[in-house]
Amino acid sequence: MSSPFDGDHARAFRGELRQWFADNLPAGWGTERFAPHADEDAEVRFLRGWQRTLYDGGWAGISWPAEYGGRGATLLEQAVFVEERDRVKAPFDIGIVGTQMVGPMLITFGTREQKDRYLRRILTGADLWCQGFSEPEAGSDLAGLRTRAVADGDGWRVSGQKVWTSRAQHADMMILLARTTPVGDVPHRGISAFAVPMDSPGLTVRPLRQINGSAEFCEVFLDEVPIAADALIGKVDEGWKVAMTTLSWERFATTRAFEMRRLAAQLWTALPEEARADNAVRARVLELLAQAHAGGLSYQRMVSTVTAKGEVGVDASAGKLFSTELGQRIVDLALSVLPPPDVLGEVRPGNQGTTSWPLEWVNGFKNTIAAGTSQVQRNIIGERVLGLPKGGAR
Amino acid sequence: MSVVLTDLQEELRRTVRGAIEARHGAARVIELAEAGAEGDDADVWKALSDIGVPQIGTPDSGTGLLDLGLMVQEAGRGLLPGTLLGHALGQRLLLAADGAAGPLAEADAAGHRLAASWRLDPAAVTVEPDGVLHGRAGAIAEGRQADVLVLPVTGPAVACVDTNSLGFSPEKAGAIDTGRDWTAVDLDGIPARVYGLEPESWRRVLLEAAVLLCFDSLGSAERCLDDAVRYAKERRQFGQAIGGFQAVKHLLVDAHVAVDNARSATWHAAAALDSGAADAAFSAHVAKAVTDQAHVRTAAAGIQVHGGTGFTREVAAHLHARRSRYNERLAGTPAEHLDAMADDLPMVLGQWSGVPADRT
Repeated sequence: MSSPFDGDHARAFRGELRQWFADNLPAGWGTERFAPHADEDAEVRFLRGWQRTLYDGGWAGISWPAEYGGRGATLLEQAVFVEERDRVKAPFDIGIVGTQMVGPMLITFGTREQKDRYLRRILTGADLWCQGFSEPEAGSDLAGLRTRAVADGDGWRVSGQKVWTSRAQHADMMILLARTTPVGDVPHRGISAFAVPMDSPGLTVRPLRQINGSAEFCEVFLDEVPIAADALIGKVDEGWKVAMTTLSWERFATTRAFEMRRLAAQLWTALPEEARADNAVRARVLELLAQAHAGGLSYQRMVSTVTAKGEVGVDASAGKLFSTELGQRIVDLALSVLPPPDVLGEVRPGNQGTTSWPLEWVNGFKNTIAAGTSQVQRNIIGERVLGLPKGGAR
Repeated sequence: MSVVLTDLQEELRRTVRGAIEARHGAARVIELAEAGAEGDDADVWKALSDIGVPQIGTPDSGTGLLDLGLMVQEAGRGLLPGTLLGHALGQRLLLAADGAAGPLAEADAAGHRLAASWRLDPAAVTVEPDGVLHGRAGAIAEGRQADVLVLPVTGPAVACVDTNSLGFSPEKAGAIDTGRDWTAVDLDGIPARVYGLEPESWRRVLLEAAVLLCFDSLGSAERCLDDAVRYAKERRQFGQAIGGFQAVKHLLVDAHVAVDNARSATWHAAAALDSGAADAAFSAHVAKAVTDQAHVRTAAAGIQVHGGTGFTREVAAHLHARRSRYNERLAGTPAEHLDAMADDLPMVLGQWSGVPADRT
C-alpha cells in the first residue's frame, strides 16, 4: 500500500505551507479585526495584492513548470495546497482563470511569444483574465456557441455575446471562444481560441447583479472587435481541444471537498450546547461530518491513484458533484439549527476569512451550477465512468 | 491515508475474484438461494484455502487488516455465505487476545475454519470457575461449516470452542439475509479454551469488526451497482437502452458516488488501523456509517433499475438488498458509530478548519 499523503514529503510540504499561511495571511485574518472591504474595487485591489503575495512566496501557479515561473508542483502537492488553503479560508484566488486555465493552456498550445507576453503577468496578478466561453444560447451545451470570428486581413473581427463571464469588469484579458467556421456535422469543430485585451474597441461589459449581492458575472458584448493574428491560441478551428484542456483543469482545481470539510467542522463548532444535546440535530450534523470526511478521502485517493499509477480519469467530476451538493446540505442544516441572528441575517460577505452562513447559503446555489451543473456532471459520470449510453431525443 | 492498492494486492484480488466466480457465480448464487442451501460453500472454501486466503491478515504472513478486508470484499461481491467473514473476525479476536497467536497459527496450519459470533457482547457468555461456559451466543454465520467457534466472553476474554460439540439453531433475526445461515448456540457447560483480552485490545477488535463488515458490504454494493449498470445498458425500451434515460442514469451515478466514497472510507479505515494512525477509530466509525448507507441505497437502486425483473428471484438484486439490511445492524449501527465518532471530533476538527466559527 502506498499512501503519498502520509509520506515524509507531503508532511514537510504541508508544514511549510501551513507556516507560510500563518506568516503571510493579512493581520487579523479570520477575526473581527479584519473588516469587509469598502467596495468591490477595494476588494479587487486587495485580491490582486494577495496574488502578488502568493507570487513572491512562490505559491502562484505552483503546477506550472519552473521554467515558466511555477514550481513544477506535483498533483499531490497541489492537492495539499488546496487542503491548506481551504483550511484557513485564504483570500479568494482572483487570478484563478489565469493560473489554472489560461496558463496551462498557453504552456501547452501557446507560441514562444505568447508565453513571454502573458505568463509572468498572470502569476504576479498584473493581468487578470476572464473566461469568454458561455453564451445566452450555449451554457452547458458549450459547442452551440454562436459568436463569430470572421477573417479580416491577417486577423479576425469578432461579433457576438458572452455571458456568465466572471469579473470581466476587472479583467485585463479574456480567453475567448468563437466560431471561425460555421457549424457542420461536428459542432465541436470550427471553434477557435483567442487572447483578447478587454480594452479592445467594440468590447463592452455589463455586470449582472447576483443574488449574493456582488456583480461577479458579466455580460460581454463584442461588436466587430478586431483581433490580431497573434491572438490565436493553438490552431484555427481547433479551439475545442484547447478549451477542454482548461475545463478539465477547472474541474480538478475547483474541488470543494476541503471547503466542505471546513464548513462541516464550523457547523459543529458553532452548534449551541442545547442543539448539540438534541439527538435529532446532533445525528444530522454528525452524518454530514462523516460524509465530509469520506469526500475528502475520495479526493485524496484520486490524487494518490493518479500519482502512483498515472491514470487521469474524469472522476474529478464525482468529487465536484458530491462536494457541492454536500455543501448545500451542510449550510441548509446550519440555517435550520443555528441561532437566527447568525444565519438569517443580511446576505453579504462577513468579515474576511470568517464564514457568513447567509452568504454561504446563497453561494451554494452557484456551486452546483458553475463549472458544469450537477445535472451535466451526472451525465458525464454516467457516460464516461459507467459507460451508459447518451440519451436519445425522446 | 489514501489507499492505492499495490500491484500484488490487485493481482490477488483478481485471482480470488476468479476463483469465487468460477464456483459461486451469479447462476449458482440464485440456485443455492432457491434450494435454501445456505452455507454450502465447501468448494469455494477449498479454492480459497489453496490460494492461502485464510492466513491473510496475520503478522506471520506479513499482511494486515486491509489485505484481509480486500478478501472479504471479494466474498461480499460474490455474495458468499458467511464463512470467510466469520473466519476473519475469529482471526482478529485471536490476534488481539493474550497468548492466542500460537493456537491461531496451529489452527491455520491444520486448515481449520473459524466461525465467530457477531453479537459482540462479552456479557452474553460467562466463564465458570471450572472453565466451562455459561450463556448463549448468536449472530454466528456458517457455524456448522466451521471447526472452531471464537467469541468474546466476560472479562473481557476470548473463548474458543470446538464446533462438533455444539448444536446450532437458526435465529429469527438474520433470516432476512438469505444466502447466509445465521444461527445461535447454547453454550451451557461447554468446555472452552479462554484467552485474556486487554480492554484496549477489545476496543480495537470492535473497530476491526466494524471495518470487516464494511468490506463485505462494499463488495456487495459494488456488485449490485455493476449488475444494475449492465442491465441498464442491455434493457431497451422506447427504442433505446434505459441507461440513456437521465432518470435512470442519474440514479446509478448517485449510487456510484456513494459506493466510491464508501470505498475510500473503508480502505482508509483499515489502513489507519494497520498503521496505528491517530484517526483510526474516528475513521472506522465514519466507514461503518457511510458504507452501510451506501449499501442500503445501492441495493435498493439495484432492484429499482431492474424494474419488474428486480422484484423476482431470477436476479440477485434482492439478495444484496437483504444483506444490506442485516449488515447495517451488525457490529454497531450507523447511528451508534456516528455517536461514537463525536468523541474523536476534537482531534480532527483542527485539521479541517483553521478558522474560528463565526456567529456574526
